[in-house]
Amino acid sequence: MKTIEEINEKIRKGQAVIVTAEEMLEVVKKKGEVKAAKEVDVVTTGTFGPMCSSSIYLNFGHPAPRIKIGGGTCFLNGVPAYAGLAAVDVYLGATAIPPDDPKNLYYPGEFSYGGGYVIEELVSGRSILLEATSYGTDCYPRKELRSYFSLKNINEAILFNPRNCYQNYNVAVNSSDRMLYTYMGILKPNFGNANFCSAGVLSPLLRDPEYYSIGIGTKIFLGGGIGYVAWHGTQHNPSVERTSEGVPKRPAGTLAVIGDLKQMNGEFLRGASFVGYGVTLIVGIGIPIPVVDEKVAFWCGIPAEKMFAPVVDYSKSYPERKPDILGEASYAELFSGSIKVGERTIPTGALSSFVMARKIAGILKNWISSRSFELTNPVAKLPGKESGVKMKGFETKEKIQ
Amino acid sequence: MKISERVVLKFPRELVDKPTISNLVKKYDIEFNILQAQVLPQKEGLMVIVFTGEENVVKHVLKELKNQNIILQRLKQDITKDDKICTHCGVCIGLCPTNAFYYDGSTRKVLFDYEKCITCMLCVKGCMVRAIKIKF
Repeated sequence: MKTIEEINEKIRKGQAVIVTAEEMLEVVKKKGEVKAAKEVDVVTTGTFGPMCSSSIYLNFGHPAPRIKIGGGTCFLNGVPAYAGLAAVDVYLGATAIPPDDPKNLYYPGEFSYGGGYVIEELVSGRSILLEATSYGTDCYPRKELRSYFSLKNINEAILFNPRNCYQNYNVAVNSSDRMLYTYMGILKPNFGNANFCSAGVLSPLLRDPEYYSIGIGTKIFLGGGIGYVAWHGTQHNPSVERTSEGVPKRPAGTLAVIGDLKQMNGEFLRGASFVGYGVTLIVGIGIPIPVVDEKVAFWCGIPAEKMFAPVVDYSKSYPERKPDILGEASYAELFSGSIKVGERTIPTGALSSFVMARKIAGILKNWISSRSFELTNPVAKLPGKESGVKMKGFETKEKIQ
Repeated sequence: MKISERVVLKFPRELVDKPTISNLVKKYDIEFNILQAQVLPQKEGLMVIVFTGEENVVKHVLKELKNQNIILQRLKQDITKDDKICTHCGVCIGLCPTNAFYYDGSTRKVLFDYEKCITCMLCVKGCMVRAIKIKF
């Protein structure tokens, strides 16, 4: 048993043993979890995938004369930002698209620009066009504002993502006879491909399946800078079916994360488009797991063969919100290039970059070993499997109850 | 020696209604495989085609096409995966019907084998960060 304070003391002295989640698998395999827990102090994880529930909020500072954008309208490079806050605070989501985008009018639409791209350009230091209108008041007389700005000359830019880091996710297939254009990518007809989205053995919440280490307040690598876990993410669903080791077999936990955009960089926040679906943001996240005891080492030693994702038909079950699945695939299979579903062998494609996940876990490892990043005790736990927290569907009602 | 040459042909408007490929095949002993074609009346035509035959015969065919004012580009120069943009996720790997995209064993980077590409363009549409481009 080690405390986080003891691990931090070792980090400060340069004596801590830090490994990536990939390296930890080997350590546990060779030495067992008891020895691994004694020898290793920190395991670093990483993930890099499209995460639609991502956003920024900005404070521009006040122009002279002043304008009250709150209650007015605001566009950033032509993309609508939410202006229902105070005078010069606005909020921009990753999936926002310009009002003149043809969307799926000429199906499948290209969705070549939107919020995710504005976030990437802003964090990369590029100039962004701000266009705002307002109705004018005695204290905020200006009615129009058109100006370029960049990250360094505004007060605050905060990345705040209500749902990132999905602990496990669906494998998407298409049983129909036509091509499907989804948020899981292009799905070829007649089970032509199977797309999955997880960093597998590097994925933060798959290495901490019961939210033993990661909690509210945990300091993390976020978009190339430092961020924190703010809350459990939306749709957090801890009570799904799990393996005997405790690893969820369905999409389960999620994280809400927050951090200063000014420290981040465009390599780890990438605008992206799914043809026929829309715009999103690819987010890079890395979370350190303190190896306080054998339990942590045990979870970090679970191989890809013992982690499973559900195979879901996106031609019917998913859009109709039917609970049925076509089977399960292990992450070893998914990463091998093909999965078996019934009698069929289906080639797999990944939406989450393992190359980037590995890079993030490596950077975090370097930050910790160079003493520029210490670990935190969570200030509160995430709801676990015993919490009773469950993701609900939305039951539509035509009349006031 | 038998060779295969993959080319993009751009037909000028006045040639679109002529049986150009058919005439060539009658004249020379050559196999062809049309990978993609967009030939509309009164418009410029575009064709992606593979010619297979003896090296000197293929060269003759290409020369004759050029002489007919058809713009000719070798296909493999037209498909690019920009590694500065690519995140190496691998969504293209599941889409590609000929395994032209594949993971490098140890680094898991996504590599592209031009020779296997049949320009179905699924990867161009499917790439989230638009790292794959095709230029005719």
